[in-house]
Parts: sequence; structure tokens; C-alpha cells
Amino acid sequence: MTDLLTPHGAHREAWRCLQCWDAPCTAACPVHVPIPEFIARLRGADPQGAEELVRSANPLISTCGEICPDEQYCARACVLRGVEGPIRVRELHRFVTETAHAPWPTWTASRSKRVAVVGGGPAGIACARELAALGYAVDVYERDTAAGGIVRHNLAVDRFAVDRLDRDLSALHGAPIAWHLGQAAGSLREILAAHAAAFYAPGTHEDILLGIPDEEGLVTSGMAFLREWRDGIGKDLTGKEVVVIGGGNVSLDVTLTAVHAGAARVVLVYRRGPREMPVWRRELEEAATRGVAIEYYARPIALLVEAGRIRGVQCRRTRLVDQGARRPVPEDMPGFDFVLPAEEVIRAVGSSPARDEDVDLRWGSKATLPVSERMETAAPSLFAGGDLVSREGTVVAAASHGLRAARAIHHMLTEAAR
Amino acid sequence: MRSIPVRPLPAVDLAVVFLGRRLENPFILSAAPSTDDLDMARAGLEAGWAGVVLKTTSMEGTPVPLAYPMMSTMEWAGRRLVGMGNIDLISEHHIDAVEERVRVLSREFPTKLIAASIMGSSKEAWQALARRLRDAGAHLIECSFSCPQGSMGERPGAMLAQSAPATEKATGWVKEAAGDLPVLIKITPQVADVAEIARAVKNGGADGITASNSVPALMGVDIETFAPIPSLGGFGTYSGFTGPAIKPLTLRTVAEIARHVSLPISGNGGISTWSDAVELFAVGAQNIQICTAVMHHGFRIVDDLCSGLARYMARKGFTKVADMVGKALPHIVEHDELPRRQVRSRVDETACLRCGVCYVACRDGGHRAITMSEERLPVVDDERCVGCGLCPLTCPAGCIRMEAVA
Ligand SMILES: Cc1cc2nc3c(=O)[nH]c(=O)nc-3n(C[C@H](O)[C@H](O)[C@H](O)COP(=O)(O)OP(=O)(O)OC[C@H]3O[C@@H](n4cnc5c(N)ncnc54)[C@H](O)[C@@H]3O)c2cc1C
Ligand SMILES: Cc1cc2nc3c(=O)[nH]c(=O)nc-3n(C[C@H](O)[C@H](O)[C@H](O)COP(=O)(O)O)c2cc1C
Ligand code: SF4
Repeated sequence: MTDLLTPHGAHREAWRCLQCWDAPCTAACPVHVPIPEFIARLRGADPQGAEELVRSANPLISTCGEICPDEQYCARACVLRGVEGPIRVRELHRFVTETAHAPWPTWTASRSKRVAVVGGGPAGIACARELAALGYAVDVYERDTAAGGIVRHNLAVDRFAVDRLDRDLSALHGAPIAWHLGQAAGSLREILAAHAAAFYAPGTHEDILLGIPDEEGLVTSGMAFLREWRDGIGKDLTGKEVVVIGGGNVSLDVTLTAVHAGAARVVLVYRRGPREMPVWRRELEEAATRGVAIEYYARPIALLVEAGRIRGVQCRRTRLVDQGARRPVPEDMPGFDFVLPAEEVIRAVGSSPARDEDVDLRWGSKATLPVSERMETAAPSLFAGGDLVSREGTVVAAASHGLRAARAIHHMLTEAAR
Repeated sequence: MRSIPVRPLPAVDLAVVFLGRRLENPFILSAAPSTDDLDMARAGLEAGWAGVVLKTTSMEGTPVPLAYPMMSTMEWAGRRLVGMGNIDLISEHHIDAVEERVRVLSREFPTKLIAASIMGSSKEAWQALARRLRDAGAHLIECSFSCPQGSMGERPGAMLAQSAPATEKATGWVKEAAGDLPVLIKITPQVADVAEIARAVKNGGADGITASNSVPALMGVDIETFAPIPSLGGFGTYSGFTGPAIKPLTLRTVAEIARHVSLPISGNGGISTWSDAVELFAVGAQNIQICTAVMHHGFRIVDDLCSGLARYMARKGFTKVADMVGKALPHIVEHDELPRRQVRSRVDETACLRCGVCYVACRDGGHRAITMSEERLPVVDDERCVGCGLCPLTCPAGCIRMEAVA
């Protein structure tokens, strides 16, 4: 999407880094990639040394080199932001992992204890790597036939090449990790009984519905739509008018994929305004350049259906009212309804976790599972992370949970041995 | 033809008079590949250079045994050509060809300086070269006593200009043959006492001195093969080092000559911009020769040199280049004559980027006088600060200066 750095360009960019003391970028990165340090190694023509640093900090560094929303993390903290532009840290990751890629040097399952990881997405992968590095034997349960979670299955095809993820996974060759793929994990209770501890990171995969009549059967799920395109069986939308309901990054990926699928027109309907849109600027720009139109301050209230097929979406204008909440709240403005012509309507308004655990996790009323700072759940020896526990919704945040949980598990198990 | 419409420069006269000849501006192409071809020399003069020194020629009919590749670079901080190395020799072209170029160019460019550079291996050779170029109509002869690859000094491998007696003797030969034609001796900066060499040049009767040629250097070692850089099939030799990295050496060389010997100086070595040129004037050069900057960015840089120089002179009220020559010399003193004052580091917090680079530098290379505040601002402890002046050098925002204190 952005221009790739040439070797000389990367070198120049590396030299632009000021090598700040107590670097604010490192503090702003959820996994605390030692940024000035890896850049210094890059300057000194030691890409292997640089790779070792970034991969130690972030097991998904090749993936993050491609899609980490650095604008909300390291680049935002860079002291050169607003002066001459932040250092292109993410692209330097990409350069490093592409120039120097080595498997993790040595693995030994030196400890007798086994730890389970439920869910092989970014959170699970990071946790498994760290546990393995700490010497534990790890069982990863993943219901898909390959690890990676959303990163493997749901990102817009134009935006991410899965070989980045495969590169991250290949760094785990030889690790004492047993990948139980293609099987949904059984009961958490049984898993906990068979392991010294478990990390629970199944993500959030239940579609949130729009709540309009005839939705089921007619409105397409954005996550399913994305996944089908990933799996090579994507729905052809050639010449179609497509309306996407959403407003977050996922909905932008859906619009990009709809364009990719041949849609004649793609309109994104969002109930708040541009300033409230919780998206990464890079994605928004990409959608704009691909011709995606955005209908702000509107929400769907009904489908127009003829002969069992969608003809349009009736939308209602909204306006924002400040109710003292974190964000202004959209309020209906009856009498200002309008119709968007549509042959395909795709929903991408979020997803929620499945709550079919057989241990008491004390969910309460929260949409995300409450965990402690050390990723502990209410159940003993059970830790959790990833999208399940936070709305941050990034690979690097999920990875940070996995790493933190692994260290907390290690702490717990070694403390317990004393 | 210029494609950019250019606003007239401030009405400043950039002309200089050097050894009796008027130059439209002080910028001359030095003896190098850019002046080793008739069309290139012509292009340079058309672009606006006030003169050329054609690449050095010699008498010998034997071919000049060039070795390729000859160029190398000192790369630093992502910059490709901080300094440049070459293992070039003198021109491959015979004196016959160079003579012809002198004839053509002095006819086509009667107002420019057409100079030729020579290098001989005997009294006869030096004198024959000088006579032939004089007769061909050269305006000036420059003698290379300093080619790092040519070993024509007293000892094998040494340059002529590394021996004062040899310099004086050979200068005398050339001057004897050249007669009224001005002679410049081009020296090397790599000597123990450059003033002594300049005195020898003067005593030998030369009209001026070119200071100075490339600096002998080893450009690098390939750490895979341990071949020197540039590597020619695994073997290498020392290069002549030129370009921006050598400017400080040139400034000192020229200052040393100007402070101790009364002799017109053509300044050369490491000049890339008009402000570099002003610095070199200030330590005593009367005009500027340039090679590497042209090899990197082309003849057109002379426009930028003239533009910047003219605006600077207008701003400072200098009416001619000569007004600037030697301006810095009265300020150069020996270390024991320096004023002893108290200075302290001062940070402009409004411009500070909060990077903490100064803090690290002072902590590990200064006097541990800087601490970082909660807001990531550097705080200088005047008790600990000795005023060494390291921190402002490291500040990317340029927001630290040294201030005199009572
Ligand atoms: C369309 C889209 C675009 C995105 N773009 C970006 C981006 O550009 N940059 C970025 O940083 N983040 C992006 N994200 C967010 C990022 O993908 C997620 O935050 C991250 O994948 C969360 O990781 P996770 O491990 O918590 O969950 P997931 O990635 O959802 O992985 C959970 C895994 O658990 C498995 N699982 C679930 N239940 C079970 C079970 N019972 N037994 C066994 N396995 C189970 C699932 O099959 C899945 O593989 C995007 C998300 C989406 C949806
Ligand atoms: C490739 C190359 C060839 C050169 N050949 C000659 C030469 O034949 N005679 C000479 O007097 N100087 C020669 N020089 C030296 C230049 O004239 C000049 O003195 C030196 O490069 C320093 O100036 P600069 O820093 O502007 O390049 C050569 C320099 C280079 C880079
Ligand atoms: S992982 Fe993301 S936030 Fe961290 S340094 Fe890399 S690009 Fe920045």
C-alpha cells in the first residue's frame, strides 16, 4: 500500500532516527519493541541483530510490519511527529524481517509442565511462543485448520499477504508447541485439569446484528464475506450496488473487498460523523482512493425487498448529542429518512464473544471479559487475552496480552514450586 | 540554455582578479575528469564556471596505466558521498591533445581562464611541458606536485610537494621555462609543515599556490574478503580522498599558508556550497577550485554557488570578493592565546523536541551536568557544566547554545 523502502531508503530512514533517550516510541508500543536499539543495529549493517530484537519483543513482527496501526502507537509518540514526520518504524520492521529472517535459535522443553492455549490467533501465538521460550511444553487448540485467527482469514485480500503471517509462524519451527489444529477446544474445565495453566484467546466471532426486519438470510455478514474472499470462494459483486453498514476498521476492509469483488458502487453507512470514526487514517485514505463513499450520520432501519431480493436500504438521519459519555451519542431524526439503492447489504457493526465456557469467568454485563493486569481471569490458573478481553482490536495489542499472560503463568508456576 | 527563469541576482560584482587575470566569478573547475575532455570543459565554461584547469598531462609518450574501478566513497549516516576516493592517475591524453584543447578553448572563451596542469619526471620534461602550453596560449600553468598516485618526489612513493628542497628546485625549473606566464604549484595537505612547503614554492619563484590536492587515504576494507576498497581483483591501494569530508583539512592548510607566507592562494578541497567557499576566502583563498561536487551534481552547481555568494555579499555589504579574503585570519590564534571565559549550556525549551540526546551525550561523554525533567526537558546544572560545548552539537533541533556567564 505504501512505497516499500529500498535498502538505501531504509538506511536513510534509520539514520533519521534521533536515538532518543528512554524512547517514547518504545513506551507507546504495546509490546515495547526496543525501537532505537533495533534501528541502531540496522544502521550498523546488522539486520540479523535487528531482527533478533524485534522478534524477541513481538512474535508477530512480520505481520505487524505490514498492518500495525503505528499511527496510534509508536509513530504517534515519535518526537519528530509534527516536526518532519515520524520515523517509519513499521516499515523498518518490514525491511528488517525481510532482510534477515532466522528461526528462533534454540528450543528446549526444559520444564515438565504443560500449558494449554485455546485459540491460535495473534494472542494465542504470542503466548505459545513465549511459553515455549520459557521452556514449557505447549498445547495450542485451534478450531481452524491453520493458526492465525483473523489475520489469516478476515483481512481484506488487497491489504495483507498471508505469507507475512507464515513467516512469523515459521520462526516457531522446532518449538515445543503441539498444534492441535482443526479441532475446537473441548471444555475449559478439562483442559485446566490436564494442564498446569491455560491461556484463553478465542477472539470474538459472534456477529452483532443490525436488528432490522428480514435481516437474517438477506444481509451478508462482513466477517464471512471477508473470509470467503480469503478462502478463494468470495462472492462476485460485479456491477452491483453495495451498501456496507459499520464505521470501524472492519467495515473499511469490507468496503475494500467489495471494490475488489467488482462492485459498481460502494457506500458505507455510519451513524456518527467523520471525527468520531474509530478508524486508522491509512485505511480510510485507501478506501477513499478506491472510490468508497461514506454516508455519515445515518443508520439503516429497513430493507426494501422485491421478489425476495434486496433493492435498497431505508436509512434514518441521526444527529449527535452530548450525553456526557466518552463519545457523543447518535440520536434519530425521524422525518429525514432516505433510501440508498442496494443489491447487496453487508453488516460490519462488530462481533461479540461466545460465552459457552463451562467455568465461571464472572462476565458480568461487560462486552469484554474482565481480566487483571496480569491477564488473570476469575478462574484459577486460567488467563485470557486478545479481542476477548479488550476493544483495542489490534494484532500488537493481542500479542502483548499473550506475552504478558505467558510471563504471568511462568511467575505463577515458579512461585508455586517454591 | 537555462530552463528556469531566474530573477536577477543582487547587483554584486563577483569578479576576481587572480594573478593579473580577471575572472567573472571566483569558481574554477579543478584538474579532474570533468576537465579531461574538450566537450566537457566547454560545457563547464558554458554553464558559467569562470575557468578550467585541464586535467594534468605529462610528457611521456608511454600510456598512463589506469586501473579500474578507480572511485570509492565514504558513506555515513545514509549519505552516499560524504567523501570520495579515487585511484585515478593523470590524464591519459598526450600533451599534443591537451595543447589542442588549450588552443580551442582559449579561442572560444577569450574571457575565461584556460589553465593547464602538468606533471613531469625530469627538468627537461617539466620545462618542455611548460613551454608547449605557454605557446599554445594557456593563461596559467598549474603544476601537480601532489598526485597521491604519482611518485615523483625524492623518495620512491613520496610526492614532490612532500620535500621542501625538491619543491623549490622543480618550481624553479618550471618558472624558468614559463617566463611571464603565471605558475601555480598544487600541493598536498599531507606534510608536517605546510608553511615550509609554501615557502619553498615562493622561493622557487611560483606566482601562487593551489591548496590543496586530495588527501592520501585508505577508503576501506571489504570485511568479507579483506581486500582494500576499491578492490581490483582482491588488491587495492591508497586513494586520494576528496569532497565534503576534507573541507576542515583544507581550511587549516590554507589558513596555515596565509598566516605564514605571502603568496596568492587558489583554494581547493572539499568545497561544495557557496558558504564553504566564503569560509575558504576567509582563511585566505582568492578563488575556489572544485572537483568532487561537480562530479556528483554536475556543472550547473555554479549557478547555486553564484546565487548564494551574491546574496551573502549583498547582505554583508561586501562589494568585491577580495573584501572577504583573509577576514578570519586575525581571529586565528594559538591555543595559549585564547580568551578564557566561563560559558554554560542553555536550552531553549520551546524548541526542544524532548529526545534526550543531549542528556545521553553529557552523561557518557561530557560532565554529567544534564538531567531530564518529568516533562522530558533537559535541565543543566551550572555547577557541573564546564561549558565544553558537546551538547549543542548533538541537539537535532539546534535549541542549545553556549552562553557566557559572569
Ligand atoms: C477485518 C479486520 C481487519 C483488521 N485489521 C487489522 C489491522 O490492520 N491491524 C491490526 O493490528 N489489527 C487488525 N485487526 C484486528 C486483529 O485482527 C485482531 O485484534 C486480532 O486478530 C485479535 O487476535 P485474537 O488472537 O484475540 O483473536 P482472533 O484473531 O480472533 O483469533 C482467535 C482464534 O481462536 C480460534 N478459536 C475460537 N474459539 C475457539 C475454540 N473454542 N477452540 C479452538 N479455537 C478457537 C479462532 O478460530 C481463531 O483462530 C483487524 C480485524 C478485522 C476483523
Ligand atoms: C577522479 C579524480 C581525478 C583527479 N585528477 C587530478 C589530476 O589529474 N590532477 C590534479 O591536479 N588533480 C586531480 N584531482 C584532484 C582534484 O583536482 C582536486 O584537487 C581534489 O579533488 C580536491 O577538490 P574537491 O574536494 O573539490 O574534489 C583529481 C580528483 C579526482 C576525484
Ligand atoms: S509493533 Fe506496531 S506499535 Fe510496536 S513498534 Fe512496531 S509498528 Fe510500532
